[in-house]
Amino acid sequence: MNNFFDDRKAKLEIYQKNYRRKKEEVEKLTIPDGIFIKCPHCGDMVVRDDYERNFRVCPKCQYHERLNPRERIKITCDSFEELYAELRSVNPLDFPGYPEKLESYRTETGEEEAAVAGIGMIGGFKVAVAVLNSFFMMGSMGSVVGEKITRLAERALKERIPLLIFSASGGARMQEGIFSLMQMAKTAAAIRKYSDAGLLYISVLTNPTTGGVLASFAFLGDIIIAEPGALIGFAGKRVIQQTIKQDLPPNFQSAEFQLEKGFVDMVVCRAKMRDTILKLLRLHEVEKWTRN
Amino acid sequence: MMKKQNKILIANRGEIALRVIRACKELGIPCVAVYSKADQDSLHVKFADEAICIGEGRSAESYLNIKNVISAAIATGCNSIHPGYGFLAENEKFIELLERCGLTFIGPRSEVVRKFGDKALARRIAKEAGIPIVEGSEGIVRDLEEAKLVAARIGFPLMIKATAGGGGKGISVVRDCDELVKNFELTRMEAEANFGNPDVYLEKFIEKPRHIEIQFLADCFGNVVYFPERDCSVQRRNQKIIEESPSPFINEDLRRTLGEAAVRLVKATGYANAGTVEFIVDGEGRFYFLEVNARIQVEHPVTEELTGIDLVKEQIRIAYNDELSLKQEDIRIPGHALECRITAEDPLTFQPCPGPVKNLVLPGGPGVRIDTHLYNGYEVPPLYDSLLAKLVVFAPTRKEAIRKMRVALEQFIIDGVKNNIDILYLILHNTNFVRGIYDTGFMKSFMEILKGEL
Amino acid sequence: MELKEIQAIIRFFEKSTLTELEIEKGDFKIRLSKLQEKEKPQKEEKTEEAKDPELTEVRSPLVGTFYIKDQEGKDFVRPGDFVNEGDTLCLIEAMKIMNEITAPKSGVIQEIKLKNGDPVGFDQVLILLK
Repeated sequence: MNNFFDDRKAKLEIYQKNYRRKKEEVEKLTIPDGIFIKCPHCGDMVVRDDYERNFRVCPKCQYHERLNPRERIKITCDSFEELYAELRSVNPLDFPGYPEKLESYRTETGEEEAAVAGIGMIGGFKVAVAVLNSFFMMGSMGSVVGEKITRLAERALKERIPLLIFSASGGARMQEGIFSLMQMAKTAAAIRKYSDAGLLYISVLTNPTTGGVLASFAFLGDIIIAEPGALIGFAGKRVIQQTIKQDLPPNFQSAEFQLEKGFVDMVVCRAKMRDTILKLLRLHEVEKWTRN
Repeated sequence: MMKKQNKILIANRGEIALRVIRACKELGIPCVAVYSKADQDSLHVKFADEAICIGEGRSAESYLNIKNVISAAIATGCNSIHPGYGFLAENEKFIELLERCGLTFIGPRSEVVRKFGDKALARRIAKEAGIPIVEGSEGIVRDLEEAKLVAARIGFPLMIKATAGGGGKGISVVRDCDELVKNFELTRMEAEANFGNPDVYLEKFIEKPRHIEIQFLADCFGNVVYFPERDCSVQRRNQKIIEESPSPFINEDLRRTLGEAAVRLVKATGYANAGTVEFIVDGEGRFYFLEVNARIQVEHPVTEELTGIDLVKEQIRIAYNDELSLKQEDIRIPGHALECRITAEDPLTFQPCPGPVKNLVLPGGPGVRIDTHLYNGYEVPPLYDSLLAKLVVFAPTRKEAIRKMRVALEQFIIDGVKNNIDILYLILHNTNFVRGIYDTGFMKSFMEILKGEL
Repeated sequence: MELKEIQAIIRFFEKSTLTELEIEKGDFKIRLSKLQEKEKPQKEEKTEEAKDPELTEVRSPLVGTFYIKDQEGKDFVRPGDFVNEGDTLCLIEAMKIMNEITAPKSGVIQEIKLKNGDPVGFDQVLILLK
């Protein structure tokens, strides 16, 4: 239909060959690095500044990239005072390679262990905050993680302040064997004591929250919030599939799936997380109301 | 002057893309057209040196897709981008990104665009430059008491405007305190009912307003020139229909005052490239600052035909750090220029009417210019604005320009797509228009007369 | 001639491809003629390659630069190569970010439509796969 355009262009090119100066090559522009980045999930390109400002959530597919504890604390708390930073892991079972592995993660992440705990201020509220670090040995819970959570819960009980824990974990830490599993009971007990005092524990499940962490303190929140798309489940999907010999639904173990099945109270996107937490804190200002 | 070879990507479509292509080719600068899938048969694609597809038909996925536009520029080896008008032309994020990437933007710097894009800030800048602004409440007026205070400050008549309103809706005009009292709550209730938001603000009401704008050019060396005003009062729902230069209403003195005001504004903000300052002028010749359009505008051909200056070429030169090729003394008024915007709209309902152009007949002759992307067989897509063509005439006097325009409209045929050529023709015969006695209320009363006659 | 018969003739004539018809019967005479419609200009046939149903067009999902060669200058694929679903066919670089284009299904590379370093637009056909 538009052949007449092509015909004309072809004719002009013949004429222009005789008259046109040699075409000078334009130098192809190289833009500086780091202006754009790619979403790790959908591959779409985003302006880096926009991505960071959006709390590392892809504007196109809403993929919530994992945050390290410092970043999480920064976007949640107005100020933060770290506690129990001096706790260090040892190798109680003499598990081969464990100390080396710990050392390499320390170098890689700059963190001492897989959890950061402390007291933070959120919108005027003093809150006991802990964040698990999925970049440190997959956020696995060993003695130090368990101890930090427990001590934090006890501190929160003593000061009668709300408790907020962001979980991200592959489960209990294999290298510490029964010591890791015992943390499940320990943290659960500390949280129970805390809960008996009528205080508020908000548990936020981020991607991924699995295994022994999920099966202990993470699922014990008074209110359980999950980030969109987060993987939340106890056993691995493949293991379940092989065991029950059935196909699993496509969004199995996603935050939305867990919401549907009643294991999670709400799915809150990162941009609204702080406001949601603040709202919950305000609604539960129990110390303001006396019971008599 | 610049030895470096440049290549320009035109981040637009339709007639303006074609316009920029022409300027590039005349300057010997290779140019690249971008197009959405819906525009692959468009004229600008055919006539650019190269063309690259940047997305699906929807503007958000193509012409407004910043990533794709920038990627296209880099992939095709361009080092500059001309944004045309609309789309990304005044998008500060886009311009800032270009600056970071090292691409030359053919327009003002991002911080300047940002300043003028913020309506409140722009008004402050104008005020500081000694330019009168339309006084208003500077924000939402919450209750009648506050409204009375604002009224005492800015005086009557004034408008109660819904913040969530637009396109002329949600506005009440009150002329004294009694009317204000009667209408304040009522307007709030209507706003809530119509827009879901009861918030209103107050603004001085200008009687018999005329929309007068001053085109200017500024280079990076501090040189600024302003052009004779364009009168764009013939508009419907804030869409301009006819523009002319000079305005039949403005005299020498007011012209100079407006022009100098524009220059002050430009110098105060370090603006470089082309732009337009929009004013509202009332029946007594008092003028008020409205806003600055930090881009080349649809109606730029009016000024080009009047003064003989190629504004788009100047834009490109300024962007490449050339000095302005003209001085204020070079700008004269050798006659009168008039432009009609021809749109694919039902002449009476103004509903957009896309479709295939079956037969196209263009007018011509001395002083007749047509800027259009139409051709026989072209399918006007429904996804974008309805502008089909701009018909511009230049003649030694206004009377002759009007006559010339009438003849040109008679000889302009776009068969297959409903258009407003006939309405324009009738406007050109309207007594008030011919006398030059009209303000922004013109189209409303004209359409009423027209509907009455039919 | 009855009116009904005349109407029948007219109807027949309309349906037929005749352009003129003259009937004389006794002293009844009727002449029918169709206005010649200008021949509609033939829509030029798009010279499209006969769409082979087995041919898959691999199209670009973004705007950028096409690379068929990797960092060492080796071709990712060549015409005639067999590829499996998911194999990397080529790269599209957009603003310094490399995007792999993988085969949507297994097949043989029929044709590579672009040269190394060519700019590529949205939805442009990159590779034909059979």
